Parts: sequence; C-alpha cells; structure tokens
Amino acid sequence: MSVTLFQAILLSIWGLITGTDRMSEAFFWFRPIIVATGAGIILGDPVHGAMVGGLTELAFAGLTPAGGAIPPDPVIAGMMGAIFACGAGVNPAAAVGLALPFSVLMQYVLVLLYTGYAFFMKPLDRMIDKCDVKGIIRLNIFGLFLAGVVYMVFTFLASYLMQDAISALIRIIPEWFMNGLEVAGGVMPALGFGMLLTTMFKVKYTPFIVIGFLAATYGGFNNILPVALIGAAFAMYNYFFKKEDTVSAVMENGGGEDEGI
Amino acid sequence: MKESNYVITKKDLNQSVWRSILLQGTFNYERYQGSGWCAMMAPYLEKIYGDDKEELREALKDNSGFFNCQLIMTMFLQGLLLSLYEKKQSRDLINNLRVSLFGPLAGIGDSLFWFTLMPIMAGVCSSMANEGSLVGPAIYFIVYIAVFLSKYFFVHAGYKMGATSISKLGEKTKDLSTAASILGCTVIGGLIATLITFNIKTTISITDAASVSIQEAFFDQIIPGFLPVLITVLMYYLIKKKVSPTVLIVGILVVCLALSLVGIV
Repeated sequence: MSVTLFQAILLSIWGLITGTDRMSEAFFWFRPIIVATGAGIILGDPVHGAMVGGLTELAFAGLTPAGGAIPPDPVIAGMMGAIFACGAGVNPAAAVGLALPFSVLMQYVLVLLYTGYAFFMKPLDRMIDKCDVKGIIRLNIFGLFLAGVVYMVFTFLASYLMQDAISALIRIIPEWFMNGLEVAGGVMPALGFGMLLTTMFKVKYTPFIVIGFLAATYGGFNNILPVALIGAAFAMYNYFFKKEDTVSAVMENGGGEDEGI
Repeated sequence: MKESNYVITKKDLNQSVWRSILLQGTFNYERYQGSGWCAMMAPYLEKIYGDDKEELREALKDNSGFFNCQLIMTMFLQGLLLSLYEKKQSRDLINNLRVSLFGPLAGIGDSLFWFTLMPIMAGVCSSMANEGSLVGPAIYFIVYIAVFLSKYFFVHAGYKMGATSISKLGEKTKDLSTAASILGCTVIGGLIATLITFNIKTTISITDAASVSIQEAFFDQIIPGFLPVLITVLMYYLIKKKVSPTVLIVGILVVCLALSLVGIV
C-alpha cells in the first residue's frame, strides 16, 4: 500500500472537512460519492475513487439518519473504500466490503459523541441564564469542530499508521473471500432500497415500483434519468388531475340532480 | 413606536442561512438539535429583545429544549417564528407552533429530500461514477450546493407567511407528498433493476460435455433482475421486523462470503 505521509495529511484534512459536514449535514460532502472521489483525487486515482464512491453511495442511499438509529458511517466508508481501491489497488466492489468494518467502528464512535454532547447541555443552560448569545454560538461551533477532529484523527490512523497492517491483511486474503466481498458489494444496495421503502412504501404505490422496474429492465436506458421522468409524469398526472376530478365530480353530481327534477 | 419592533432585515434572514450550519453542532441524545436551534435563533432574539434581558432569557430557554426537524424545512420554521417574535406574539402561541410544526415539517422535508431527491441523485450519479466518470460526483456536488442555497427561499417564505394560515399549507403538502412518493417509488423500482447485481454461478451438468447455468436458464428466463427483487423484498421484510441495518449489513457480508466459499456465487 502506498499512501505517503503528505497524502495521509491531505486525507486527514479532507476527513476534517467532510467529518464536520457529517455532523452538520449542510453541504452533503459527507456522502460516500463525494468523500471517495475527493480521496481518490488526493491519492492520484480519481476514477477508481469515483467508482468505489458510487457503489458505496448506493448502499448508503437508504441508510438515513432520518430513521432514528445511526447507520454505519458514510464518511469513513467512502474514505476507506477509496484508500483500498486507489491506495492498495483492490477491485472497487471488494473495497466497499473491506471498508465496512471501519465504517461500523466509526458508527459507534459517533454514538459515543452524541452521548457525550449531552454533557454540553449544562454549560448551555448556564449561558442561557447569563444571556450569553456569543457563548451559545461558540459552544456549537466547538461541537462541530470537535466532531471534525475526531474524523481527522480516525482517518490519519487508518490511512497512514495502520497501512502496513492493512496491506499485510490484503496479501493474505484468499480469492473466495475477495469474491464474496465483491458479491456483497453488489447486494448491499438492496438494503438501501429496502430502508427507503419502509418509510415511503404503501400498497397503493406498488404499480409505480413495477413500472419503474420494467422500464429499467426492458427500456435499454443507460441511466436512471428516463425512469425518473416516467415517475415524474405519473406524479404530475396524479397531482393535477386529482384536482380536476374533484371539480368535475361535483359538477356531475350537480347536473344529475337537475335531471332528477 | 410600533415600527421600531420590526428589526429583522433581509440581511439577517440571509445570514441565518449560514448560521443554520450550527443546527446539529452539538447534536445529542438529550435534546437532539435543541442546542443548535438555540444558537440559530439566539442572535435574532437578542436583536428583537434588545436590552430586555428578562424576556431574552425566557425566549432562549424556550428555544433550547428538544428539537428535531429536517435541515431545509427548519429554515421555514425559523423565518415563521422570527416574524412572530418580531410582532411580539404571545410566548404560548410561538411555543405551540414550534413544538407542533417541527415534526410535520421534518416529515415533508424528509420525504422530499431524503426519500425522493436522494435515491434519484444516488442512482443517476452513481451509475455515472460506476463507469469511471467524474461527471456523476460533480453533478451530485452541485445539486446539493443548490439544495443548501434553497434555504434562502425557505427562510424568506416562512418569514412572509408570518401568522397567515398554516392549515392551507398542510393540504397542499399532502398532495405534494403523494406526488413525491409516486416519483420516489418509480425510481426505486428502476434502481432495483439496474443497480443490484447478484448472479448464481452454479451449473447443472446434463452430459459430461454440456452444462446449463441456473442463472441463464432459469432466473434470467423468468425475468432479468428476479433475484435482486427477491433480495430487496427480503430486506424490506427484515427491516419491518426491526432487524437493525448494521446486523443486516454484517448478515449480507457473512452470507455472501459463505456462498462464495462453496462456489455458488
């Protein structure tokens, strides 16, 4: 594995930036597709960075913090995926699987952080008592920065200090194991889509899933955008015609009564 | 005298978009975004109450409790509540509005941004990235900058809405939310077909020389993408059964490794 000290420092700074964004969720730089592409650029191999980022992004698309529980960490998943794919030359699909233990570890670090930040609430209440507006703002800036630093340290440890251990590990991994990781990388998006469906699926939406599935299977499109447009057409139809139906139903009822007389 | 109460300027609202980065600054299990929300509101409450420390303290206290909204829709709520604070509406009204609105607004925001925009962006940009194109990540980057900038629209819209009827908005958002779900479900159907890959390698030998691949002869004949659909349905079912995502991720790894070891995949 060949991550130079200079690259490791750049990766750590990238970890600081994206880790801060993970905490604030402001610009979505914390998403694997952005993290891994950025890390790929730093490691001199943006193409493989983008590939591993794309695969990880799909797996993580449904793992939203909106559900409540914290999912495996997207920043570290993208970062380590890129390090495996660009730094150690692992096939991108297998790199997704290799990055997972790190991302699960970071998930637990984040749980600790969210628990620890509860201790910030006492000073917050004291500042409120003193009407210390600047202090309240500083406390939150400090919180963001602290989270970023945790990501920075984690990235440095994993990318530089542990790289001998990591490359030794990759050398002893048997072929069936790498193949299994690749297959898992291809299956992982199913979890993402399953998660999305638990929050948005109702039986009445089944036709649209079927239509989307068939359009993508037999449509021969080379990306998902045409399918999205088909979905948008149905969505607009539903939105606009529903109103018209309500109006005409009222009118028909009115007409019927007239005839009855 | 009354006009002097109107202290929130356009510039303040624009600035609040950047302060909104702090919303999850000290996110914690006790109050979720409560502390960050307080930091977002504090400078403007200070401006509104001026030297009246007693009122300011009460307002800050009100705004430091549990809070959990979606990041974009929070701006709408902030604009709305600031206009009410500025008009010196009663504390009870404002508190009730805040507590009763952050949940529904989060619902609308999540269904638009997480459950509709996210799968489309992930699907479109990842399929480009998977072919080694940097255009995918670039589009992703630009779209989410635009999403951040949409906070300008929402904070101003909330401020303008002031005390005017929220219920009207409620009706419209319900229709919008249905439309968003239709779009989202169609896209997910397409993503299942194109982005999950799972192929069985097992072959059945008919004679010594000829063998039939189960994948080609059976699954692909029923419908391409049959196994991905099955896997997605299984995942959906397990998540409904409250199996945690982390367990499922580890489960997928273990099962795929085991299948690979015995040569099925």
